[in-house]
Amino acid sequence: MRLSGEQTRWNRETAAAEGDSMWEKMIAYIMTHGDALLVQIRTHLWISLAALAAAVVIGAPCGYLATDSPGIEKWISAPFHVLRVIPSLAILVLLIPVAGTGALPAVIALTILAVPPVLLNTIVGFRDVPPFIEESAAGMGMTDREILWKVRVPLALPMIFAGIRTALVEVIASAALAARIGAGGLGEVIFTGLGLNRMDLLVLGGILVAALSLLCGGLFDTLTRRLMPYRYL
Amino acid sequence: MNDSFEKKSTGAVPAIEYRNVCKRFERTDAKRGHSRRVRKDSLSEAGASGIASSGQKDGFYAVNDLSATVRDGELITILGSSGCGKTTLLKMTNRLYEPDGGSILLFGQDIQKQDPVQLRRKMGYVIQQAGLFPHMTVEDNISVIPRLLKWEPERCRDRVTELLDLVGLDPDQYRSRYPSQLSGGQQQRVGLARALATKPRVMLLDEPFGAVDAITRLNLQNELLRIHRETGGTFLFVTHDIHEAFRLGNRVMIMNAGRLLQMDRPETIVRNPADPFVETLIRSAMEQERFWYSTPRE
Ligand SMILES: Nc1ncnc2c1ncn2[C@@H]1O[C@H](COP(=O)(O)OP(=O)(O)OP(=O)(O)O)[C@@H](O)[C@H]1O
Ligand SMILES: [Mg+2]
Repeated sequence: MRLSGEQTRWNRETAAAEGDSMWEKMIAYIMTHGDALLVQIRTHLWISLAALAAAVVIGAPCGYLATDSPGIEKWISAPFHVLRVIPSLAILVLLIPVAGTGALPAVIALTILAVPPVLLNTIVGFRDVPPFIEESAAGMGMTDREILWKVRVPLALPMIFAGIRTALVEVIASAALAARIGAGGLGEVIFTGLGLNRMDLLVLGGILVAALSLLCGGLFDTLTRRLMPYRYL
Repeated sequence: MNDSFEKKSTGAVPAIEYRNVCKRFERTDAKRGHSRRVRKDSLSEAGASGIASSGQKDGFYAVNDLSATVRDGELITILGSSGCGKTTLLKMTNRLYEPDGGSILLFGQDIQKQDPVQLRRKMGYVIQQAGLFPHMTVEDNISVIPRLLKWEPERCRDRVTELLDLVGLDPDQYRSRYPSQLSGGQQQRVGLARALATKPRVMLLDEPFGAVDAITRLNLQNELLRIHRETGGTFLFVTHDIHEAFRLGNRVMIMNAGRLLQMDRPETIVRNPADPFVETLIRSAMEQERFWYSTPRE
């Protein structure tokens, strides 16, 4: 038997009205709150990428310094390990007196979360450059600077990028907490869902955060492939 | 060939002169790793032989009071068992290691007074593992130094083509490959091409054919002889294969436990071994050979 178009539409409307299909509700929410969602996605991305950029700017040079003088490695990585143990939510709350509310404390907390993977992978990346390759570079007459930029950095880069990727996914997932201190982002959908006890919003927020995280991870992989073709032969 | 290395007016100035060169390693050197750039050759075994020979606990001489003269245009092979100081000697020649005593002259000039980077750019250096940069294509690997010297892209490309031809690789097929897409023998050829890129007058080759099979090795040896003939450079070739050493070298340096035992033309060494160690070495090589001649073939 074939349902007429009329009947199908009727079915859909009653289902939405009666509220027994979560999907219908989620689609309805997207329809009505589309613009707000776009803003939230944009804020979410912005906060995450700012934190990631800060983490790279802090983590990669520190990682390099730690490799060249192993004595200071623990002094560099220990603080971040300690900080990472503290839950991000706690950091957010603790930062309120210092950095207030809004985007800034959110970015700071997420940076603290993102530095360790970048830092550790940078250390491993530089350490794993085969000594004989460095030596052959020196033997050819490359200066220390040339060896650093033309050999050591490119060879450490795949590992550093793997660290950045880990940090990226972690940061996007955790950025949902930022809404808690008024920084916006997709966390708003989730916290609204929690507040109103609406399962559909909780699930929608969760799905969007996960999708964003997967999407960014995928884009990042494409970038890695373009930059380092020799890794994928 | 017009690929000739600019030769100095054929004066009597030797290409390389080693004067009482010594290199001492402390036992803790390798562990402490005080200098990142100058680390122990990852293939040489730690200390045992050197320590035993010097009979000291804290340190030993990897190269001990070595004097030798290499004439311009010679192909010298350096023969000796593992750990006898061959690599150390080569690395002192391009200042990857600093000697603890004596001096080394390059075309009459003390290398100690020259800038290491400039010095190394005057010499080609090939190591056993080829040491190609995995993130660069064959073309980029070969033209690393030319590009650092700001050669025109055109000139770099032509030079790469020329060099790939020289080492027997089809330029069109190989120039844009990555090292991981090459066989061990092909990597060695590229390593050789890279070292030859700026037409250095001196080539330092540290067991460049260590990791290839017998047939490839024979081919590479023939290519090397051809390249040496065509370029007219001075080649220092380290090996621990006595057949390779005697086949390739205009003269052979035989080392043991950091000391130079004999340096002479292969025939002369076979006829008058200067030392019981050299004699044993030659006898053992002949013992091995005997199998081939004593097994009748149809
Ligand atoms: N950086 C270093 N620190 C301490 N000891 C070293 C260092 N480099 C080399 N040695 C030691 O010096 C000795 C000579 O080493 P070298 O690498 O010159 O030997 P080799 O003749 O090249 O041997 P092989 O044929 O195995 O390459 C060895 O006993 C080695 O362990
Ligand atoms: Mg060696």
